[in-house]
Amino acid sequence: MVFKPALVFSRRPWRALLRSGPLAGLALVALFFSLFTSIAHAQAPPDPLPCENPIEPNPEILTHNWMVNENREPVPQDQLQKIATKSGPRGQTDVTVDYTFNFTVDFSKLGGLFGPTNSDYNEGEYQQQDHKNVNISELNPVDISKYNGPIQKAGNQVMLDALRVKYVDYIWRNSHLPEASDEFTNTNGDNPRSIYEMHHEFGEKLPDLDPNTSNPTPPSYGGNKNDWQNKWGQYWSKIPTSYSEYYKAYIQFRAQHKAYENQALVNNSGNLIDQVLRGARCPYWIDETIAFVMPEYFRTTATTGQVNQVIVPGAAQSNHSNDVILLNKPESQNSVSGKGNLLSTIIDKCLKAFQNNPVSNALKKVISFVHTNFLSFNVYAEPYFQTGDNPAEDYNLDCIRILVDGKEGKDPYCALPANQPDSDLQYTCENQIDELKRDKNNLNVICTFKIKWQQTGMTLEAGEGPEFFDTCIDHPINPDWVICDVAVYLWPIFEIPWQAEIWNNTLYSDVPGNEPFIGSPLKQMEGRPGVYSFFTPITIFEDELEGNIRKCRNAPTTESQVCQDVINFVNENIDEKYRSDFEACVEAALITNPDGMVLCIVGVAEHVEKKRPGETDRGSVSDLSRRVIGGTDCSKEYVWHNALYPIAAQKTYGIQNACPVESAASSQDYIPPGDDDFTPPDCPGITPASDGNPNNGIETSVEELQCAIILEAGTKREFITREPLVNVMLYVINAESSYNQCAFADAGEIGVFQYIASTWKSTLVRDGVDSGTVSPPAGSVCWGIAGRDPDTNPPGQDPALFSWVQNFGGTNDGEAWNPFLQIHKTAIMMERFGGACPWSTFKGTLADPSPYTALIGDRCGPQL
Amino acid sequence: MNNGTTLTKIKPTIIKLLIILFFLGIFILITLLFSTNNKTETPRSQEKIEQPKTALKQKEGFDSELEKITKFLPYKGEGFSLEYVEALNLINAKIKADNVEGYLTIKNELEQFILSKEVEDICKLNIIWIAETSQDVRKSIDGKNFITTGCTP
Repeated sequence: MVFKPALVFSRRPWRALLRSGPLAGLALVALFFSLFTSIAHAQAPPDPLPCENPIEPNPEILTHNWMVNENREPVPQDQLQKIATKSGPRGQTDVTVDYTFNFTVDFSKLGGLFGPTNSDYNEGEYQQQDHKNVNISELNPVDISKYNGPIQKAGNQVMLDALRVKYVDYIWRNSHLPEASDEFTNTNGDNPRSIYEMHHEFGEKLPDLDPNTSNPTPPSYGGNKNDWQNKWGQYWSKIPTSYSEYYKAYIQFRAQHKAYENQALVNNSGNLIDQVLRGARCPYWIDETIAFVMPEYFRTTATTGQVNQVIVPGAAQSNHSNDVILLNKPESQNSVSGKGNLLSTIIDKCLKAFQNNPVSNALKKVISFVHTNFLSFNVYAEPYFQTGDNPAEDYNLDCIRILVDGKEGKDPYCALPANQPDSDLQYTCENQIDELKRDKNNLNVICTFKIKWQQTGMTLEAGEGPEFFDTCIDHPINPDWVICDVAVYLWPIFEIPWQAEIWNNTLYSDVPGNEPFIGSPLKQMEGRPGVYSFFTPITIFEDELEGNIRKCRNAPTTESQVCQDVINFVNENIDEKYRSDFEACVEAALITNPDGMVLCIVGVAEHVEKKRPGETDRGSVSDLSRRVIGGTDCSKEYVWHNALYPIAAQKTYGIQNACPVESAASSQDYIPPGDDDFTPPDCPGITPASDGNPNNGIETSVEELQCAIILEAGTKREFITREPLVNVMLYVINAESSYNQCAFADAGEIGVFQYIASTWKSTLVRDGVDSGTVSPPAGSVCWGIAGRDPDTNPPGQDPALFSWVQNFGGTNDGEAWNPFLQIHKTAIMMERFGGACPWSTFKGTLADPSPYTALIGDRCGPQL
Repeated sequence: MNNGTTLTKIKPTIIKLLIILFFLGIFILITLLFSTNNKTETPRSQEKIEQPKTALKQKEGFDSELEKITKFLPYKGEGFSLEYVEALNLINAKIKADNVEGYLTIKNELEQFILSKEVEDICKLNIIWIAETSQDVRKSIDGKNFITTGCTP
């Protein structure tokens, strides 16, 4: 849609008064007193101060996001995992040791994480100047449809009028808001006026909802229709339903020192950092706080809440968090709704905060560092009881919060505000000039903070207690001195307002008092779907490339433009190692087998790095996709399976009612297929099964596979049972295949862990490696044999049981048969929440009878 | 003359003594050298002897129960083998069978064999029961039967 640019007349009556000579004084005095007689109080003319005077959020609405990797370690390692050193006389007590961390934040990227995208989707682009200037009378029906968002479409006039009355009132009273100076044209695109000017020119009165007052009232509330239409009514349909507010957000820090290693100690009690990583201890706060300003997030909350109110049945609605506009009473001008009205709570509980981390994967990218150890970001917890600062806490831990990649990109942002809560906060900043910075004169965009850690009462010896160091060596010069080291980890915690409310409004509705966990089966109120359960645009489920592939499949000919677009896109973005395969595939299929060409494209497209729906690059082709997700990395699986399926159906189909973010835009959460660069394990003492002939492919023995599992699982634990992962894997592989790498079953299960073949379908194998065939009679190995994959079923094999072509669609099998790759993938999956559930032998035997019966049943659903 | 005779007699004796002392010195040197080398190679008492990374960490009690049956392993017969894999620190029981009943019969016999060796808690041995059967047969075996009878997973 293209909005007509409107002629904009500058209407500044207060400036005209000032310029009009001696009468101006009298006029100003008259105006001054007339404002006192008005029902509304006097207000200053609009004076937008973007990013200034941000609202101090009620701590109730702050959600904590920890920056951790899959091992709970703070990342980046090179910035936040350090060694503090101190030298002095051996055994000296009451020593103070300190370390100053450098922590860099790019605030221009931080804004993009919490951008306004949901609000534009839910409300329509009411905040855009084009939208405010458009001539509605000339819009065709399609443009009218785009002009309005779900709120305007689904909301009734009474609700919309109430919201707009609140909006006008709030904007008029808060002249510092950026949109206070925005002007709206009337429905014909003429006579632009700001709210302030409307108030002045329409009788110095603001609309209200009571027809018995002298203030104008919308007809839906009984106001006079003619009066209304001649004044406020001309602009009313362009008035937004929610405003943008700036809120303060914070970065705080927790720290833990000491990594003294002595396995002889119970629970490795000298290694306090290890205890944190195991979930047995909570790191302590350190007294450093960074405040920054969050634009737009309030509006996102407001709009999602409004849609939630409109479309979700009353009994199932999200709680009070969706009333942020209507509950914002005049007497609480710059405050959020009253205490107790919101769903979220402060998450100051260490381990639960670890879990509640929906955006920190993306947060990491805001922090300048080299991407090391940047793999999966699921955080797990162990059934330890905390021994830290809150021993009475209940750490009956719930679902892991899988950390999705999150949306990245750029959106409006505020640079670092000057007035920091810690007046002695040390930092240096670089400027960045771009159109997205709201406070143009603020030069503090990319900032490096000095965060000081300090520990008093230390003793210059290595030992178990927290007052001792990890290691000490003799001082090279002073014979009685030592040089001692102690490890220190620093965890940044981003405290973001409104985050939980948006999740609640869009994904599901929580109940008061609960943690703002998303998708937690124990916390979620069943049958309270969120906005996206009803308004789920297809762009949530696919990005542009996926959409084009879908259309190409349905196109009458592969020579259609959409197919050509896909080919061109893949051709331009393909990883070079797949190029020859791609070209050969297209060439072979181009003339004789158009359907096959689509398969070529799909297979290769899997390897093309794609923009995810959650990304917020304003320059992206599909503006809609970035508008849909907004503050929520909405879960595909959740919307489909949890919100739209009846509970009975969920149980029947074994659908998990947990962790919806698992499937959102995270490369690591979707484990198979293969293509990992890894090598088979080194197992001294185990006789190799291979005879050394590479033409035989990968040959394994039971012991080699067991060795691979032991090495791969290491000291990890299966998430649900907290049993050593190695034991669970050894059990499951045995029950699934008895270590037979060629095992297959009639639902397409293949290999040592019996993955479903279709999971890996159409995925290329590594260069120079090809899949083999199945055993027997074709051979005793079934993977890695040189040459093409079989075009047909191996001789002697029953097609009804196993069909290579059907299962893999030709030559692309993603190395599904590679037993070591299956072990590798399984270890990753089982360490995650619910990752072991797909294995029936896990859900079955381990659940009945065992200490884990209830646990597995609860987390995995019923055994089918 | 007497002096000359005496000197002539003494000289060879001194030479012999010197030769003996020379070899004795070499012997002492070698002994000292060896003792020094041995000291160097003796591990310090406080150093930890690390298990190979491939060794499975078994639960407490595994070692004592394993000791009771080690001398009988590997135990092999027609269609089965019971073996301790030292590099992995685990016990594999491999059973070849054409059907579920055959698998269960051999498994039961192996369990009785182990119990007959004064093993007090067979569960501590954490035996891995491997069904070398067709996939159809394997899928028909109740998952509990991949665990030693009476033990929990």
